[in-house]
Amino acid sequence: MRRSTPVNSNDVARQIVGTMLWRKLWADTRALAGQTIALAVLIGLGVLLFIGLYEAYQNLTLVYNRIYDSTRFADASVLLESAPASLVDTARTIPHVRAAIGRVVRDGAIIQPGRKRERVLGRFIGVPRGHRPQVNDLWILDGGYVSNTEEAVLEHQFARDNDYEVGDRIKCSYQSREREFTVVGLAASPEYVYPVPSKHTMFVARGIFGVVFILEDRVREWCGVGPQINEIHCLTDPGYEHQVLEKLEGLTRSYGLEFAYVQDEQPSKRLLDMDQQGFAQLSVFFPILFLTSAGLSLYGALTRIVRLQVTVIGTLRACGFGRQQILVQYVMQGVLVALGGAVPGVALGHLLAVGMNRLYADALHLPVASAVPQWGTILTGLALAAGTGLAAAYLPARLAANLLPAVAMRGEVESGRRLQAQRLLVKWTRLVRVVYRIPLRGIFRRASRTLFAVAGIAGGASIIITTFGTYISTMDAIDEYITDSRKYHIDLQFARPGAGVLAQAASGLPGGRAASLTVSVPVRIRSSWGSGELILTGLERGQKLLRVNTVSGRPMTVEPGKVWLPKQLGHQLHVEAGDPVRMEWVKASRRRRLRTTMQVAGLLDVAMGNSAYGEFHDVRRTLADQAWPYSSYGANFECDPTTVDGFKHRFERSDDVMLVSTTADVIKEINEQMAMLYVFIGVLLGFGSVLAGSAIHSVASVSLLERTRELASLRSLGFSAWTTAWLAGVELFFLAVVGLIVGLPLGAVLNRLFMGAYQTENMQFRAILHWWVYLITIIIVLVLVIFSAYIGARRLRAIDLSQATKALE
Amino acid sequence: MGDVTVDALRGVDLDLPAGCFVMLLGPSGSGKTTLLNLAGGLDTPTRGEVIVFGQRLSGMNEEQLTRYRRETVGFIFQMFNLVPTLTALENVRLVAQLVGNDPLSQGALADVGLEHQADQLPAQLSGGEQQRVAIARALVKQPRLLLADEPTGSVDFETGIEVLSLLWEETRRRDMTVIMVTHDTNLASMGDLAIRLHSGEVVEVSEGAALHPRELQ
Repeated sequence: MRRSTPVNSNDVARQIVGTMLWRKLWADTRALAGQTIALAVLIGLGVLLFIGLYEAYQNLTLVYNRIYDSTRFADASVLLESAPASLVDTARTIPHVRAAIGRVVRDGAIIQPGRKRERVLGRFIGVPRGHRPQVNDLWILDGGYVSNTEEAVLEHQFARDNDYEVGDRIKCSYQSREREFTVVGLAASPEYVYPVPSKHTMFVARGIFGVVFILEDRVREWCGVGPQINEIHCLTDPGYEHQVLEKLEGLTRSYGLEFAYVQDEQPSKRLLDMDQQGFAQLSVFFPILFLTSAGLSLYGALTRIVRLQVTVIGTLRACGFGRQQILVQYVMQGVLVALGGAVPGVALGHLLAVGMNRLYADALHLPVASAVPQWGTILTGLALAAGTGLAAAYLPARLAANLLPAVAMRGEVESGRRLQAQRLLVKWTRLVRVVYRIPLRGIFRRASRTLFAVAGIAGGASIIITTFGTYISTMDAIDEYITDSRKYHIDLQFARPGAGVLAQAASGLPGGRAASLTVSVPVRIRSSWGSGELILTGLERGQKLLRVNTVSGRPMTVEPGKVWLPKQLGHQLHVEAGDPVRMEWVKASRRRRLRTTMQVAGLLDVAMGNSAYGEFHDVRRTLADQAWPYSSYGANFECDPTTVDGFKHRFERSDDVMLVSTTADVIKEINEQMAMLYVFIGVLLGFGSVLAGSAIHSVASVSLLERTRELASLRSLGFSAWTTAWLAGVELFFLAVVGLIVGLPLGAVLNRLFMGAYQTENMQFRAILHWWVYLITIIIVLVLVIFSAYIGARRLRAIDLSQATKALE
Repeated sequence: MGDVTVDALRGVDLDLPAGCFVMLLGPSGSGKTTLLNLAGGLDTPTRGEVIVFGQRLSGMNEEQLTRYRRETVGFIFQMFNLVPTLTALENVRLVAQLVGNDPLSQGALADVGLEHQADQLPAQLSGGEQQRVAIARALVKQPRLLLADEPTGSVDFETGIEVLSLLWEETRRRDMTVIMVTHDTNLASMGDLAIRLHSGEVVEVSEGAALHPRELQ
């Protein structure tokens, strides 16, 4: 005979009770739908930003890694003046080197009559015949690889910007020796995903720097190089790149070692990494702000719910519900609200990531794209949201769980400390008219609510300030780089020393105004404290076309024997005006000791660029003439603005000119690149305002709900609806003022930290905040306060006084 | 299915003399609080008229009702409804300043025997003391009509008698019209007039004995 399992009545009761508690949880959430949605949206925004930015970062990393892996991007490289080709065989014997190549690379000009730019900067890289490079291979996107000396493969971004297609002819010039090639392929190169010619070049306008891959023997013959190489690139065993690089440096030091770098220091990769670091930082910085504020909002809301439900909780406890059950009930409410926001946040965040990756892929013409959902990030986002909900809900839940049933059923919550605080306020606010004491003391009525409001408003205000700060600092850097510094219209780079006469002659033509010669040479600068690398630029004495300000705000003036240093380098080297520094050509070797000692003229306050400045003839004589062709001669040319195009074409047609770039083109290029920044600024301003707005609105509605009976009583006693609304509004205003008092300096500090995170040797953003940023922030917050107060006043007018005076607080 | 309309009051036609103490009696849901709220200008009737001291409340707009409540009516609530952040004296002064009677505040608090508790916050007072503050707050305006909704509903019996005694004495002394809502039939003989309501209708209007609350024991 089978015996039926006895049903434990306690289990059944527990099940019913459990179900009912869940129903209560659901009913509570529905009853506060508006606020629940607002909180969920806030948490959702945090998750959205986290997923959007971090997934974009991860997918970009995937794309770059795919390009790097497929093309066997070098792990360790050296750039030399010149070394025998056999040196690469020695490099191959270095332990942990898996493959090594030696290359011959030369810079010259690409001449393209009839195209938008008639003469641009060209880099000619020799590639092996019959097989693809073992290191730094090409990703052929269209056409094929070179098979004879008349063919060339073009870097695809340059090709796209200058309308080259497979089958077109391209004319290249090296030291006035011109050669024409047939374009047989368009390719992406791991070294030029972000196309910059060198680590000293911070900004290159789109389409003015082209990389041309030609058979190595053709480059040798054309450029008169012989059996020499000037670059070695190695693939190493994972983790051994630094060790290999050290050996490689030792091996090549006597051959004019200019630059030795591991993959992470390669100029293109470094710029991309900086960009990605920006993503990574943003993906943490802003979500933290949002989730913190959302957590505080949730904490405030749940505390209010607990207070509203004090008698219910007391009754539940009296009926036999345990503390644990009450605790779990309210913690779950927080977690569910958080997850309710997080789930759509994840979906929208993924879409944001896809959109950002697409924008990036378009901007950099990346050959591949990735929009793979990053499940680890998604789970982290959900965990962050759940954690925020859990952390925010724990204290109110504990408060609920620890309520004494007898006290709670009377609708009371013991709080001795608050009473003490209010006693103090009674003393402090005695002099104020009684009716004004209500909002003043209301601020301190609920410490948690005040804290939450202040945190929310401060968080929102600081986002608004940081956003404006980013914009102003970026614009300041650009303004200084373009408007304040460049007083010329055309920047010329010559194909040979002495071609400056061309610019000087042109300045005497109709429309021409002035020409000032320049010379640049990459140098290593040393003091007794250390060393740094930068471009030493020589300017003519008394020139007025390039204006660079010193740290004291006055324009620099160059003198022989003296050098002006960027202040960040000056600080790094611990030098000041009058100190001697040693300048050495970066490719100096035992065979070519190119060095000189100069006196520091002073330090420069520059936001963009990494140049030191000396006197033209001094720089030319001591370093540049001897470093040729690794130095660069040019001129700044000023003319009537209506004649810029005419002069540009005139210069482009000259064989003595390698590159012509107009200030207008640079501005246009910068503006195009700034479009993304404007979108970014707009989005962040919106987010900041939403954050401050949700905090203010949440506080306003919480305050109104909590004090319905009090405000209704005041109206019953004869206070007008306007006066009661005013009382609630003034309290909100006080909270906003406290929030701003915290938020404005916090914003300034965050802005400083934020801008500091983007400092590089090429970019020194100043953390600038104008007074109007604070004013706008205050106005935004006050408008939000007025809006919330207005909604509160409308609600207050609609209140049913007879019911509200009986409501339980 | 349409909405169900429930009339809180039906066919109520009352004419209450000025200066009398009226007790509104009846079980829960009988409509006594609704009647009180109509008299206090907290509610407006969907049909019919409410006229208090010659003022027709049913035609007043929000602003006029506010002025009426400010100048004519004093309220005493079951839950006291004091502003929790103001001290006892400040709660009285709050309303006194509204009607320009600030100098009377201290005296009003003394009248209810709380001059020594003036600086206490509501949370530091007992229920009975809080209701005394509420009475002082209502009286300081010197209203012509005092409305009390279950004023002893949140205090114990002994305290209730104390509160009622205070209310009875002070309003008699000031010759005020009082309408007090209670569901306690034992209190009927405290007023000059007792009106019994049931399901929104007046079922009985009787003269009360106007007994002092202590005499009710």
